[in-house]
Amino acid sequence: MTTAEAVEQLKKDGFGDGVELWKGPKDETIVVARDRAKKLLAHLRDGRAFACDLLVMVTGTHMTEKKDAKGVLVREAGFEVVWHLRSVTQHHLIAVKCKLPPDDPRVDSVSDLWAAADWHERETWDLVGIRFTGHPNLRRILLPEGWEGHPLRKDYAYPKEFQGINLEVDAPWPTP
Amino acid sequence: MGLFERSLPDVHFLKLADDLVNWGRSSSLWPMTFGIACCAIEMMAVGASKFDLDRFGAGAFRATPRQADLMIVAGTVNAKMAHVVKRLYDQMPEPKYVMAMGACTVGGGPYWKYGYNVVKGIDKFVPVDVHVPGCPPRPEAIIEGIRFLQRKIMAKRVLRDGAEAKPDFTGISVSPGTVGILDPTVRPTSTVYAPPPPVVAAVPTGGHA
Repeated sequence: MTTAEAVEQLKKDGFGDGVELWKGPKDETIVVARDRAKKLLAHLRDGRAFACDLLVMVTGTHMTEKKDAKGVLVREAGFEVVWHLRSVTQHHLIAVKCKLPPDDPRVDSVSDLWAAADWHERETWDLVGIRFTGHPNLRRILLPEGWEGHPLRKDYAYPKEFQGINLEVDAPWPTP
Repeated sequence: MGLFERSLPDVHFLKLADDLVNWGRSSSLWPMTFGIACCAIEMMAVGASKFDLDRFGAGAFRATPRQADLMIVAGTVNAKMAHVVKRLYDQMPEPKYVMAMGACTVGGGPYWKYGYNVVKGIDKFVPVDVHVPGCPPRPEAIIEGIRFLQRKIMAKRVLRDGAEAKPDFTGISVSPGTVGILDPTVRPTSTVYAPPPPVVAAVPTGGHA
């Protein structure tokens, strides 16, 4: 099943509002509104036509505002969460995206649908700072406890020091 | 050396005693068994039979810091790991030596600019005796680092009072005019570090279908 077919099937199943197809240069993605994300993902797992029994990954992106040469806004600032779902029985891969506002990056956790989502969501929280509501144990997984900020955000300020360990650079890199 | 640590007069007999102690220390540099990242693979290679670090008395990798003299920090040290490395260093008995192996431990390496979590050189939290650059360093470079460290230990004063002499690095330095292991003009003709001769089949050819 291609992503375009999946969107048509979803519209038949009553997901008309808040679900749309996004076509990129190489791939296609289902874009879903935030309040319907978990319901859609549960349907992709349990719907007979989809049967996405494997959650490949959860990740997030942070994007700043982008304008073209004329000053027209081409991309709004904000976050995106991406889920990649694969069906072992149906042999298809479906990507789902959800846009989140910059001031409140919050989305429902799917760790009760796929156990694999638990650590992926912790990593996304750790590095990008997206909150997954309903997650049983949302704390840092890669960076140490007590770390400030989320390093993959565009406005991240690099730390000078962490718990007594100096992280500063002494001298500028020599230019060749 | 306990009570007499660098407190006795600088006489020739005690210089011989110092040399004896330093000879023992430098000839039995037991490293600690731990590796943090990819540099550890080269560290394992240098301990294995092809490069055989045991020729220099430094091949006995100890599984505990209490028995180790040398800490080879092989791999990227990040903020989470730095506390562990520091604790390992603190658990080693004196005299103890540290080798910063690889670009990451020398100065951050490829994570120098955008490594938000990487310590830009382990000399930020432990004293380093010898830096071995490379990403990762060749096993020959680690051997050369060990030999640098041995010369450094030989120049130390153990019993005698007074200023220490500069270590004698002749024969191992890569600086111009000297012969070193890493000197590219020397290595191809070297017989010590040349690849072994090809294995000739000892079984008679033929007979197998």
